[in-house]
Amino acid sequence: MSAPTLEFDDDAARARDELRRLLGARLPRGAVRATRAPDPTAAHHGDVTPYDPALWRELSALGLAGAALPDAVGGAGLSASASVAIAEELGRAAAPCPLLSTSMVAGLARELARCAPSGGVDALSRRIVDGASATIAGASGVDSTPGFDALHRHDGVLLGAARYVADAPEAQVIVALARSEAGPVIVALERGAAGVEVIEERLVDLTRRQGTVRLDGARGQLLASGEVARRAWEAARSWLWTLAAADIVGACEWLLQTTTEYAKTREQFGRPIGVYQAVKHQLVAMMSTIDLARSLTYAAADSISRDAPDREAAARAAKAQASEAARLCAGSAIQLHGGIGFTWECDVHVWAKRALHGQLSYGDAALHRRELSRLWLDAALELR
Amino acid sequence: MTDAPRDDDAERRAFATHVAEWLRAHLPTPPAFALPATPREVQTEQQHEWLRAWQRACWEAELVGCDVPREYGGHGRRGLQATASRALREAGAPFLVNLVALQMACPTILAHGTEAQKRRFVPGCLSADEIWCQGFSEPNAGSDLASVQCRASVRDGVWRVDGHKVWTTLARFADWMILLARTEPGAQKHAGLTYFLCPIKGHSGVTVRPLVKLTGELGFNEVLFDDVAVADELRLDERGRGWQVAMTTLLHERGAAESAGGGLAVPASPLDALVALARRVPRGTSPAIEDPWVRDRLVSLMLTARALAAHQARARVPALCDHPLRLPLQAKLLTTEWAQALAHLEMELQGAGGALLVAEPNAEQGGARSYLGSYGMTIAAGTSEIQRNILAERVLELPRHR
Repeated sequence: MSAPTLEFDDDAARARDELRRLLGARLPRGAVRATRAPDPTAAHHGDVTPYDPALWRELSALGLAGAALPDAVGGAGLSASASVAIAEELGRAAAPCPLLSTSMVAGLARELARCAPSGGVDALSRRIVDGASATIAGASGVDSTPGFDALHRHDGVLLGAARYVADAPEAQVIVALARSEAGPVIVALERGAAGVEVIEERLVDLTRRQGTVRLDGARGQLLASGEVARRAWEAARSWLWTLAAADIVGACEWLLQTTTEYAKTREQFGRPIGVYQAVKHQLVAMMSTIDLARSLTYAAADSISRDAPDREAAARAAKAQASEAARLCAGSAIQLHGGIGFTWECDVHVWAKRALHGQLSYGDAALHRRELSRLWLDAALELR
Repeated sequence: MTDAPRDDDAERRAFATHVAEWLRAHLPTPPAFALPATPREVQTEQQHEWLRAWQRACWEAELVGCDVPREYGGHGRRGLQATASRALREAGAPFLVNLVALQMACPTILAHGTEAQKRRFVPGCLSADEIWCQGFSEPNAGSDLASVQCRASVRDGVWRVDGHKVWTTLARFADWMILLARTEPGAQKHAGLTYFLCPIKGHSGVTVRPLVKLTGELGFNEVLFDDVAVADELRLDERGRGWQVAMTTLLHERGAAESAGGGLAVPASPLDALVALARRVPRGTSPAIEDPWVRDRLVSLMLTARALAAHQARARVPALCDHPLRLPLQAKLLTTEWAQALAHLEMELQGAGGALLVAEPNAEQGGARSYLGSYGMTIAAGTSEIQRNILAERVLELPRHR
């Protein structure tokens, strides 16, 4: 049973509202599509535009990347729900920047500081606070939640390739998960270090970048190894799923609001199409799916903040429901826009693609429900 | 990272302790006769009286009417009804039988009643001394509530009511009815209604006829009015304001506001029973609980249950709600469709056994009859389709279809 109320304090609300204002000013209507893909044909063939470094500097200056990090390392010391609210705004604005992946690393750093505090962990946190973008490498399969299997550490150097690494072509710091003779290890690498190569994975989603990280003898700062590394990573996964869910919720809410506005203005048979129940009921279905996901996402943030025993289940539930929302909202937004929704000139595809990219990353709905069935049906845990 | 303790936290904790201790000591053992699953299915005087006594005990123990002022028979606390209602629910306590009074009549009278009306009627709602029913729906006014035809006109300073109400839960036991009637025949449809507190039991000109549901059970009734006298003191709010008053009632009925009188206690986790069933019944050659399709559906239901609980928590944080009615107005739609999906899976897990009457040897609880019965929930109190229209128009502000 979740707590009777959710933690969301004034500081969290302030950080979110500040970010909303900033993104509203920097990314006015149509700007994302125009700047990310000035030439649709080139975009179709995979031309990739780097993120705007000025936007990242502004976001970083607001202290958003270090929102979840403790005061001691220069962070804002905010609750997990603040990070979730920030991620939600990124999705709502389809913001092209490495803040989502950097927030995930901040979440990992917070768990490392708890399970395996060290100078190396503090140094990673300080780099994020000082404006470095960061990401986590370790995914092998299409599930794309990083793990310890893709990379290998031997004699102090890293080897192997991790796929589906969010923002890899942009990130200055890459936190690698790897297996070793000493068990699992977590290592922080500089993007420019010898033996680190990033190969861009060109995406359908115009608003983000992604890559394969190939390591061939790379050296970095060992952050944790063995059992503590495993524990820290298990705790950190809740951050990944919850933040990914929040980004999706934000993108879906944009799709809902934009499609609703369209239904009020687009006329057919002499009336706005929003008069028709076939349209109304689809929009309400979008709203309900989004709200279920949003509530589960903030409940997951609450579980993370309290380090509740059900935090993994709470985060998986959020990602499962957000993935359902992405599927429904991306499809319905395009469908309800009719012919114009099928064109490049209409913004809907930009957000629909971000939502779908989110749905397919870090495990989709069915995968998380399968894992939840293991947690809820096979273990003698409290059911709700 | 927890919030600083609020001022009323100590009171809330003390109250929660009182509730838990009282329930531990007083939770009744089930009577020799079967209890109905919901107030809609109360069949006998014996069931009715037993449930009335339970509600009275809860009221005396301050678990009902927590937030209602003392002068109206309540206990004068603030914001603690939710705590008591949750404890009742989680303890698997019997439901509170004066459902219409607690969820509809009481909050409506508190919002629109005169001082005299509040003092006269609210205490009986809480203690279950007076049972209430709701007279809104008519044969030709279901989803389109504003087209109510039941007529009231003044003769010799007294209202005279003629008409026909249907789907009236608890009418056979009811002392009073919240009644929506047309008083201004010439006026525009929403403007011509007035809201009354109408005596039912033993009142001249009132006929209550039980309706048999598709499941074969009693529960709903139709109520016929033939020149029924209603004093003007029993008019709630002004003449012609019936629609606005009815909206207050529906807001509470559909869960948009925490009922000031009490809450609807439902049996503890029907999900637990469903999972237990899945462990027990086979599907093919192995237990249903091992079937990936069954597991996915069970988890989907659990996930939605969790989300609905999280909705309640989020609804208390205004900074996480874009529109004040967005979550409250979804409550009825989501919970009834969830319960229907649950009844459907339960029936399907029973396979051929799901088609047996519960009285058959070896029959499980639930089955096809429960599933069919679940349509009562998605039709009553505004069908799911009407709920979606309301959400589209009031929250998304889409143009009205009328």
